[in-house]
Amino acid sequence: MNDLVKILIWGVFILLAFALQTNHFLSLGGINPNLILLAVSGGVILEKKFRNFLGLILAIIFLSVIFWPYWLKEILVLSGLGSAAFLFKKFLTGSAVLDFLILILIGTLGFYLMANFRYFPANPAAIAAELFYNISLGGVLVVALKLFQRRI
Amino acid sequence: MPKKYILFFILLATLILVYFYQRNIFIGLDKFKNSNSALTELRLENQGLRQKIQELTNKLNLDNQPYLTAQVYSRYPFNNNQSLIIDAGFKAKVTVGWPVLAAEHRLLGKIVKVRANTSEVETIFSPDWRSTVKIGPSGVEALLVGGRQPKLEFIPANAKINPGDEVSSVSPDLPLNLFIGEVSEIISQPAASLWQAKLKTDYDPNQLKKVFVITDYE
Repeated sequence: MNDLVKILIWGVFILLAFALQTNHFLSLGGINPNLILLAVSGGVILEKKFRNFLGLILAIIFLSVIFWPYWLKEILVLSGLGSAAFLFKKFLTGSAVLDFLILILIGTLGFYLMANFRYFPANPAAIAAELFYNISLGGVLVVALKLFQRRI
Repeated sequence: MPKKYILFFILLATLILVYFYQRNIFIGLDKFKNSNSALTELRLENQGLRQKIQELTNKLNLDNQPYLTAQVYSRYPFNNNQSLIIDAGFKAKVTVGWPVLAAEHRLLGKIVKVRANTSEVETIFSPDWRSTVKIGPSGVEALLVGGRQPKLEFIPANAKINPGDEVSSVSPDLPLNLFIGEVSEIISQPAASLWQAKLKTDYDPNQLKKVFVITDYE
């Protein structure tokens, strides 16, 4: 695929994730899904070259500096987790769908462990709810992509 | 192969356009459409008058305590915190530590970070929030611990408190006797020397559109 189209698709994807996440647009019962984590996990699975993945991460950090300067730490945690996942993805199962869901699982737990350790024991129910929501949303994305691929 | 990505891109672009259109991001473009300057002037005047009406309607009675009204600009995007970003910063002379109210005499939090045009408010729903409070008419002291459901800790066992008792601030860095919420449930164990209680507020922090910052508070 043309690199320019690829960059555009990722750009749109990240912008959408930022817009929806900031406005709590998909919030259910006060639980906001981690769309940036979904975008990063998607990048880990879909991108073959580390150079391209790094571009994605830098774009996320750049957008965060502009739109979310107060929450840069959280974005850096997500970026770090994503980069580590990219480097160790050869140890995953090899199935894109399963790996994507595993990354969401590890990413959600890892994010709260690193971003705010105190939140972890204090709100296990909220973390479990978000985990379920993130994985469900990841599943919906996978199904939507598969349906889309079949139609074309 | 590239066809499907292009279609996918068009779909996403449409979604974004619909979304931003809903959020009135294109309001600036609207202004260009109305080239009639008199109409624009009238619109601005109307907007100014509306703002003034809103300010008068929202006027608080804080015993002559100066305050400023700020719109909630953004919320913490993840679930492990409940801090807010408001549209007043050091250009509006906002200072770290100033108390923030959700409504009249309803403590919401305090300013923790200030930038040029925005500030971050740490709320009583943030897990890092700690402040001393008193409960009910007997004035039993406790520690307010922030979280999705704020808790009252270190309540002496057998203290005379009941569900529905008012909880107000006695922390030295916040205005005295500022109402915070009510006791919703007391968690007591027969053998424990200290009790816990849950706090209930009469507003939903996720629905707040504007807040009130008490100014000149030290």
